[in-house]
Amino acid sequence: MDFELNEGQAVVQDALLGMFADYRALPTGACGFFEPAPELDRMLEESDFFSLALMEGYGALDAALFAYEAARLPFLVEVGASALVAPLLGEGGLPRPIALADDRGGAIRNLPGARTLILLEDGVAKVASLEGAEIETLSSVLGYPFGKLANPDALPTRTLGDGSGAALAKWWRVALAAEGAGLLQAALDATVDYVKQREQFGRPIGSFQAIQHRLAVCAQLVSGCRWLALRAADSGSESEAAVAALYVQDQMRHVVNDLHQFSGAIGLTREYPLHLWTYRLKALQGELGGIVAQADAAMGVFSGETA
Amino acid sequence: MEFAWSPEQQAFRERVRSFLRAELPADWTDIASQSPGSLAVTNFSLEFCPKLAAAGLLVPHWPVEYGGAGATPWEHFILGEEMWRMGEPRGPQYYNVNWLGPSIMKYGSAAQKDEHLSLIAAGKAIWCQGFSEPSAGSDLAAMRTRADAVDGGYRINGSKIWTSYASLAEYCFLLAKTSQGKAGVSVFLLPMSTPGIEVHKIPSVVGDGDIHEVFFTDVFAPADCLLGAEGQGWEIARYALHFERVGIPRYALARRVLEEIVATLDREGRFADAHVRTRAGQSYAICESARMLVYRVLDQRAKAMPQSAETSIARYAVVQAERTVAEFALDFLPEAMRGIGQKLIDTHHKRAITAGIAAGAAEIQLNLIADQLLHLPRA
Repeated sequence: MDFELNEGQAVVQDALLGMFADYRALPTGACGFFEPAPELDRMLEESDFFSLALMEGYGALDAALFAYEAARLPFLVEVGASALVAPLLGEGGLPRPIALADDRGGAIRNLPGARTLILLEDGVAKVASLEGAEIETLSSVLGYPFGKLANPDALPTRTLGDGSGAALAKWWRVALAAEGAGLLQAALDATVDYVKQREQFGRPIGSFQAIQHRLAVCAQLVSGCRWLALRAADSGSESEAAVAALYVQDQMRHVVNDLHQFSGAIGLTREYPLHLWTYRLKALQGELGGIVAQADAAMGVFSGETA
Repeated sequence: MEFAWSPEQQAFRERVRSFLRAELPADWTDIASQSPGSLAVTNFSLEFCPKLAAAGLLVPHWPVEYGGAGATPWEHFILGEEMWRMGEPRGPQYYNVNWLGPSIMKYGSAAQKDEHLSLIAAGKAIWCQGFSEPSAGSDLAAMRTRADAVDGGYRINGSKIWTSYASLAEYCFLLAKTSQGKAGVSVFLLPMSTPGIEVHKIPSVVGDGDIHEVFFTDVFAPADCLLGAEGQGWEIARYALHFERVGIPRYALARRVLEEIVATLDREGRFADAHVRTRAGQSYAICESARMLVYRVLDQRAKAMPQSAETSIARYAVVQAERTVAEFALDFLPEAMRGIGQKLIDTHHKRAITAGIAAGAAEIQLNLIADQLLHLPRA
């Protein structure tokens, strides 16, 4: 095992972080419920970052690191479905952004603006082009564009082969976990900065042990989320993917609530960026069946494994 | 970055498992249901550890010059996972190989290394740790036990409490004040047979032999008992605690206990229930998170990176993992705690409560994370 980036990974990381440098600064003024970054999206696509998982010498772990780092930005770029899910289903090069859904008639995250939809339906993966599809944009506080297909049953789909449903669920879980871990880390970092500056009772609120201990617990949980997500990406194990998604969905409730608590009323405003991470997390919390479905999947392959 | 075990590491794990299959007796689970410091487990360890040593499996992670094989921290933990998973047949001797030996290696004189490391590496030494005192638990620097310089050594007076394994230990890794403040803390490697040492067992809910009071009345410690320099004790204690806090792979037993609970519930037709499966899954994920956070520390150790707050993160995660599995058992398999269920589950429950208290309270770990990782302002 090696928990540090290898040489190739460090090169990719440096290139990515260089590209992200102009997007670290928070949007000024009142933000939306999410902040798109079309120029960054275009640069990433032109630089072929979404094909990382299929490049020689690279793989799913590198794509997961990409999803993790992108999620730390206060801007929204669709990475998980494009960089992890589609290529690892053997569907690299699909028009993107890509939306994922397990209910074609429901509210679908990232659907407005998406050019491809990957569906988990009847236990298999199906791919649909969204060119010409009528999409109704929904109004949601959760930090992604949500939309609904106007005529879901009329959408033509291409069904992938046997085992594609399990593969889709697996990589979707990895993508969800990696993105969730990045969002959690960004929200934690912002809150740690805030409690060092915000003074009450004549001292920074971050000096109170009541807050320190809870933030320390958050740091532990967030770190666990990251390593579980990256391990699952590296191994490609269905069990580890389910565990990673389960842990992220399970612990994000605790972390998000604490981070909002420590940010007080400013954390409720849209001029402060906390919601750009935490309300995306809330969107991910129940995705793909939430903790009940992830636990069911994790426990299905639990028995008889090595320590 | 990659997270797979190498073929050599997998082969090493299999070697340890084969050894355990061959050497653990049929009644081992009954023996293991007593605490690591019990007479039964301690005596078992004195037969079992020499066999481990002969097979090269007691201190493989130690340097060759001290009887080891120069293996990495990964092999140390593979070994620990397999031992702890089985209920720790090394009894109190896991102390020796995890943190005591490495502390003596780093700070000991040639004579101390000769005397102690060879005994530990042979599987024949039982030690206790004289750290906590009635007024110095989490606030370890408040200790009052004194070691006053006298001709030829030191005269020690004071008392220790919560001392695991003290009634059967032959040596104590003892902290005492040679002068005031943290700079006045020193470490002594003291034979427990020294006149003036009195040990009282404290009855507990975690098992016999696990906690004691130890009184020191005009105990003479020859100068060659001092580990490192006079006043170096705080540094040595921190070094030892770093290995102790991430020393026992507690998630490995928690995981095995979870397997037992799940198998039992499944057998009884109770594992199809979504609520039960969700709680089981949550427990499983928390164990796996603890495992990865411990592995993170091992990776740093293997690369000789400096000690960091990652140790406290891992320790806190392990505490949560043990407690979560223990709570799952209490909720869904309470009969295991009522004397008719599996002994392993009962054993795990007894041990789970200690993790957040031993080796520095869980809250001390949170203080360290807040200070050293998050750099939050001090009050």
